[in-house]
Amino acid sequence: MEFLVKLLIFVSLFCIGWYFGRRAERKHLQQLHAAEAQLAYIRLGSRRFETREQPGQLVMASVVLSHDYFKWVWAQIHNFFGGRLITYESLLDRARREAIVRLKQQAEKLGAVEILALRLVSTEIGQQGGMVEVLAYGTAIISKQRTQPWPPVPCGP
Amino acid sequence: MQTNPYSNLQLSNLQLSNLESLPGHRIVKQLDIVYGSTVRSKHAGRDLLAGLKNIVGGELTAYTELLEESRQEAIQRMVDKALLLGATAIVGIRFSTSSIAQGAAELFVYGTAVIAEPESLPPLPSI
Repeated sequence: MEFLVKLLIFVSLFCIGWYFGRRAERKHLQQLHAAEAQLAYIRLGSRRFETREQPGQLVMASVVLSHDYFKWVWAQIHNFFGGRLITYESLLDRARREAIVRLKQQAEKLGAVEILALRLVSTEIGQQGGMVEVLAYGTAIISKQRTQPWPPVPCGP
Repeated sequence: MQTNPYSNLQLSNLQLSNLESLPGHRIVKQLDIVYGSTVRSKHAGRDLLAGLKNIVGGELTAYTELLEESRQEAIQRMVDKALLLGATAIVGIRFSTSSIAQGAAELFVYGTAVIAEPESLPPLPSI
């Protein structure tokens, strides 16, 4: 009897995680896609020795994303066999893209057209490593002139 | 659109950059390395909510805010040290985060305090 109750809880959590997690992920990807297209004019670079004549300012943005129960169970199973953890890859990918979008939004507010020396730092927080924090930072170059955006880079699955 | 979480910093004309140099400026004097750190943990209420969010997935806004607040505190500590040294800018800023215990995170930021002056255009050649 006790086993049945436990199984029922597990199955319901699994289903809730699958349904809501998938819905949240799809919505997030759509939002990211729209925001990235809108902010494509802000150039990104990761070279730290590069500099400009215009003034610059440090910008930072961070995001904490959590996995859902379905992904957790899936990862536990995969962990046993080894190999790619596709569910976690997509979580980290979304977190990085979101952090970059937020960084660009802050650069936009400053009137910047370029971010130099972009750095991405990710940290695992939480008990089972279920939460990941991604911090993006860089130096926004404040200039009136708009530059040509880089051609879009295909990313993500 | 989000509001800038780091807008409360009291910089008093101190400029920050994570480049090796300060754009539009020339570094006149290098002072010293400056750093700031803070260790924060979340309270039980937030932890409980996060536990629920772990089932459905998505962004943990409470955590994002907590970490941003803490990071701002770390930066403020670094900035205060730089101001004491008489710096006008901090360059080469790096951030690092480590989770040291369950539910506690250390936020660390460091950089080099320098004195920088605005770069003026080179004088015109005399004819």
